[in-house]
Amino acid sequence: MFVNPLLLFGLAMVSAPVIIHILNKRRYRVQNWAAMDFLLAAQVSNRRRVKFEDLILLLLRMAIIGFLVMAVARPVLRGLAGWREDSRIVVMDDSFSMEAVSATGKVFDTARESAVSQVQDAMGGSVPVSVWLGSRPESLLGKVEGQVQGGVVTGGSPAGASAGTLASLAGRDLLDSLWEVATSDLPLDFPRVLRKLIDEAKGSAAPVVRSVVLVSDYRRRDWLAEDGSLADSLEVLFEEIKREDLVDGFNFQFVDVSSGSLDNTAITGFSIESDPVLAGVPVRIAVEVTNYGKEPRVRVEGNVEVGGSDSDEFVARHKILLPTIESIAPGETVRVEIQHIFTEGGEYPLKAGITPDRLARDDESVLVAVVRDSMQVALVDGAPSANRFASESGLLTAALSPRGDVPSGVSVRLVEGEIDAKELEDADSVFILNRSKLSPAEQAALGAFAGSGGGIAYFLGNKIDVESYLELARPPAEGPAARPALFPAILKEIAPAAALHLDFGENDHPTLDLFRGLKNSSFDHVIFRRFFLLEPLPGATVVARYDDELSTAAVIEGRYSLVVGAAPAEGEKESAEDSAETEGRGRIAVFNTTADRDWGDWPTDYTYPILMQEWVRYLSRSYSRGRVSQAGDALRLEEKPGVSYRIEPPSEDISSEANPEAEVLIGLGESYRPHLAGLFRVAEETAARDTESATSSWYAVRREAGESDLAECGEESLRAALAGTGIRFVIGGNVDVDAFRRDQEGEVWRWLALAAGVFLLLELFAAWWFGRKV
Amino acid sequence: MKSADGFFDSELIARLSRLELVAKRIVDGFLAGKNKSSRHGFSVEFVEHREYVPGDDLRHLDWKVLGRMDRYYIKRYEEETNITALLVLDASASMTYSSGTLSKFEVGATVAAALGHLLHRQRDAVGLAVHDQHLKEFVPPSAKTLALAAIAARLKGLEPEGKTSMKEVLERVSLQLPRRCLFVLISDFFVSQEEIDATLGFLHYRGHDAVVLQVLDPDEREFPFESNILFKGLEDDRQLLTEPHRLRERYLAVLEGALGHLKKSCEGCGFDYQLITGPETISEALAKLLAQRARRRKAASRKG
Repeated sequence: MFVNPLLLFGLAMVSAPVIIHILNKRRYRVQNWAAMDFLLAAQVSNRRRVKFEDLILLLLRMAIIGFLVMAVARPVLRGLAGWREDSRIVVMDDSFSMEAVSATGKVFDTARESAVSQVQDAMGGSVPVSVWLGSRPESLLGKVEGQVQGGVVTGGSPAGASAGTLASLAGRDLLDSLWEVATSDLPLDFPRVLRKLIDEAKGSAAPVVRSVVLVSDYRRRDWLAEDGSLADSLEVLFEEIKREDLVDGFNFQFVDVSSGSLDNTAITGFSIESDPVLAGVPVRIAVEVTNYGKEPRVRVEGNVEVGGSDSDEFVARHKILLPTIESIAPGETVRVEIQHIFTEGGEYPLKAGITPDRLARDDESVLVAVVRDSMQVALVDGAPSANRFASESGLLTAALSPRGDVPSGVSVRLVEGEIDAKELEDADSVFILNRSKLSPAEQAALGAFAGSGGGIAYFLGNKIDVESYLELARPPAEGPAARPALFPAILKEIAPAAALHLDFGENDHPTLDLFRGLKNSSFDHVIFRRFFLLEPLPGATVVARYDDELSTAAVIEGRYSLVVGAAPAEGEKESAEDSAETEGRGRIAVFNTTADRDWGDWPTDYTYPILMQEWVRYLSRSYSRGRVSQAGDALRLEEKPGVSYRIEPPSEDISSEANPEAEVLIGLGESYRPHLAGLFRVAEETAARDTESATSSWYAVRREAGESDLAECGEESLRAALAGTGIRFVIGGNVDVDAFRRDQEGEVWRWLALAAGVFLLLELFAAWWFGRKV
Repeated sequence: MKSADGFFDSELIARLSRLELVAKRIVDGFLAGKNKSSRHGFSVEFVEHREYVPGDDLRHLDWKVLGRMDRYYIKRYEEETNITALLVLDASASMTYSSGTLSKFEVGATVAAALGHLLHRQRDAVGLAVHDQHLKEFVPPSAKTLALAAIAARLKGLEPEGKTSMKEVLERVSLQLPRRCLFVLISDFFVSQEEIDATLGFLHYRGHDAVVLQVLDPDEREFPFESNILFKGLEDDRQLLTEPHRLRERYLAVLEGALGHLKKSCEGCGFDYQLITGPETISEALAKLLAQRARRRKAASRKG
């Protein structure tokens, strides 16, 4: 097979030396000569040698022409030198960065053309070909197997059709899909591609050679680590390929369709500083803009749009201009803030946008603000009393909501009797005050509450059943009662001590923001007379201590972790689930004193209500954070028996126009991972509740900030990084298939050209040796 | 500077006049001159002894031999006399070849005329025979000035043609020459080696002396041709299309072989040989020839 088969007609020129030789014989001059005897005698003895020399030179000249013609015709020597292609996998990078517009147009369009030519070439060579999406390797765009007939097959049922017809249909469908596919908001996930390739290779019954063609913009973040070496996630997989002896099973072609590093500015942060967000309370909304380019970005303008809480579609009710950013230096992130007041509770979708550049989709971001009328606190009084100030909860209630019916931002509700799920349903946090013990049912309810993000605070007292609280701290690890610890410390009684004070250390806890910077400790005048000895569980932190000899823990904060009683080892990162719990809260605090004045006079101190309100805010579940996720991650939907969720994709996004997500319904045990960013509307449906009365919520899905960094890897850097992997690969720009075929052929045409050169030198030498004119 | 009839190069003649053309063999002459003949007489140089017989002139008795050997011997002397020379000029078609201003024939004719003039000045009899495969012109040897003029006249207007044949011509010519002569053979000698051997052998057998002057054109000597050439024979229909530079080395080897054979044949017969390649080498070749003959004469004299 030849790349330029028509040029083979040039082989006719091989006869040129013979023709020239014959024609030369016809061109001569006549010379009268006297010494014919001598001449003829010389000719006789020379004749054979001359013929031999003529033959040698003719053959050399014909070979030169033959090699040159073959070189320009470029033969494809499949199967030689180990190169073989049993199938071709075209991985098209459909990640978000491919939406960038360069001088030659959209990078993704260039990639598409390259992928199409790869597919067509494979189909032309009857090589089975499939197309994967680089950001969604689980999605197979299409596949063509077997012999493909030429021409377009129109209509007709596949039933009874030949394999060639079916292949043609499949090929047409694949090409149509290629022309229609759009980018996602996900990053390139080549490690998953490699994983899938390795698994397929291992599962193959017979050894096959796969050409893997990755058409991508090869951004640095996708390939290289900080030090320029290959990213760990890729290195591990390439090592596995080598280790499993799969190197010969892959020919990697890395097609770089980028136009080099591109400047880009993007919104990389969009958040509400206050959490929870309360109606009527001013909140700060922050927008961060990062310049990923090499040149300063000047005069960036933008705005934040606040949608209505009563609409299923985003309708901007308020538009707040962002402060103009005069200049953002390369690599710099600038943060601007605005202030807004949500007048009433509800779910509010927000959009932030700046002046669009070459990559418009990251010049927008979304957010959902779940606005509460107030923070709901459930108080569990361990020693209730009709006298408000004689009870455990009286002073705390006064501290949190002094006037009760006057909104203060905290709404306190006293839990009477057993703590159950219903009592906790609307609560953001629950304060358990000097409760002697918690029944198994109460523990289960509290566990579900904390697991859903609610916060728990304990105030101790003389009614505490130490053994019971030890059970809370050390629940069974297995069985139906297994759960994470509900109490983050080990409790021990100690003898009453002298009057002691609280020591909050560096005052760096978030609840101490209001006290930071004060010259003297605000708590020096507060005296505590009695407390337990608290030994924090692994993972729990001591927020404050008493200034006794033992530096006994006074305030401990823990977390309702999924891992029973365990905390991450030092230096070990939290799991995503752990982080989610932290994000949605699930915090547990222990105050090693009473909520009333039994063990100290703190509740009468001015710091008490301030700190308690801060702790209520700190412990309250975060509604907004749970509504924001990243493209590719599962939406955080609470699993409820009998409940399914209908998810509607974004309706007015750039991405949705090109690549709409379909409405999807998921049930218990299922998850939904959107590949597009934007505002999603999620409706909760039950069998009892019909669609119209289903409750809907907003979810904001964002893309990974790093996708906006368009800095390229660079062919040399990538080549150097891949050099040690042992894989067979070629790297090239946006070239057609022939360039890679040339490389995969082991550069056969170059060898042919070299042979022509060698033969030319031989011919020159022979001509000189035989005494000819050169 | 050439003389008016075109054949006498004065410069050449001036050079040659200092040397004498001396016949190696005994040639009967009828004029007293510088050349030796086989006749014995006065004022001749000693050649050999013979036993005294009564009646010999006692003035020629070798007294030294009598003193040594106590035997009577008479000295024999060669008598210097005029030679008879015949200039034999090849006028076959092969002599028409020319790569420059003069063809081989013209060069040969120049040489013939020069030698004729020199011989004439020495009062030697000189004649001319021009031939191809037949005798075309013949001027019997004579010491008269008219003979010289006749030679010049015969040389003029000759158009070389035909093939070459020497032996037959020389056989015929020698019949007209009563005495042993000096044959000056001027030709390119493009004949077979057998014919050369036969010709020289004939002359040697007959007791003639000979000088062989081979005239070649510089092209024939160097073979400087390039590119495709169709060589056409001058004396026959043979032709050859070839790339000369591919044949050159081989041709020159064959030529050298032929030249060597001719030279060897001459040496075997005791004849002198010189090669003339073009008019520029005439003087030098003839000077060498005459010097060569002078050395031979002296060597022969010392033997006596």
